[in-house]
Amino acid sequence: MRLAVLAAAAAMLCGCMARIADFTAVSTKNADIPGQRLPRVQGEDMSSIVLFFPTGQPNIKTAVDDALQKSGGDLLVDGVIYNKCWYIPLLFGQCGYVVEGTPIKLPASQRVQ
Amino acid sequence: MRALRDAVFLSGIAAGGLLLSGCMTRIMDFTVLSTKSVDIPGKRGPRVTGEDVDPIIIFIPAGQPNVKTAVDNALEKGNGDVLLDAVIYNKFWWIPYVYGEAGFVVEGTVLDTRQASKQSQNVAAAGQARGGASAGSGSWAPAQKAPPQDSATPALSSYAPSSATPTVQAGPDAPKLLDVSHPGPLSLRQAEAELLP
Repeated sequence: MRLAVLAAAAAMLCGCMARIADFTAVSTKNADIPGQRLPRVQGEDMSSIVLFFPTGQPNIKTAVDDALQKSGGDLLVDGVIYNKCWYIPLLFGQCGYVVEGTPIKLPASQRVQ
Repeated sequence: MRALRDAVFLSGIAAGGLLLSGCMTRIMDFTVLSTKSVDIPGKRGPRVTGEDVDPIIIFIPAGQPNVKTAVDNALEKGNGDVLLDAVIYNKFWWIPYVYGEAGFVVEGTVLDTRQASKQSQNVAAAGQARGGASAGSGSWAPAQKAPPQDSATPALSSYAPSSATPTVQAGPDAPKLLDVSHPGPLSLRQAEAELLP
């Protein structure tokens, strides 16, 4: 009986590993990055939910790209990543990621083409 | 009939409004983040993996894993302050009603920017020490101190080294750094011996 329970549990074993985001640079420590500080910016990647169908898969990387694109910077410092979601049941909603940070424009010599 | 239809429509909207749900959760704070190819000065270390994984006992999670803690762990392992070319994974496995684990795994190349900034500070201080000497005050002054604001000596912000003054460059080919913490005229002599060709 005990073996059967263990076998059933093993058969139902589930697991996965999903890639959430790729970054060229990430830190949680105070690093000294030389460059020109630009005004604080927000970038987002939101997907709509129509009735109850999601119309896309939001991505943190796209939100970071959006913030860098808006500001013309190369890096974000002192930032936060939020998960944002709102939904009017069976009507419409939006879910996605919002990234907020201070962009830094690196000197031309430190930008890799 | 039309009034009934309007009432149904309005009550539907009201019910939708009542059922409206929304939230905004902070996933992670960071000091540096980029998706572009950037060349940050610093010493590159090995590729490291950091994780923050919490167990699931029976079906009860024993904690709330966090991306930030995973990045902190990776930086701690590599003894650096920035991760380059980093990937963040969400990891999960569970044997139903027995045991499991859920959390975040971060993998990246460690970079230590503290050494680079220390070097550039030393080089800047060395440049200042030389600038103070060539201004011709005649007496030694600590490198960190701004030169006196009289008409003969230009302000530090507007000071530009003359062509006779050798320029100190940061980078791998930079001359050997001098010890600016050493007190007295010896430090200046040491600087000249090391910086002048």
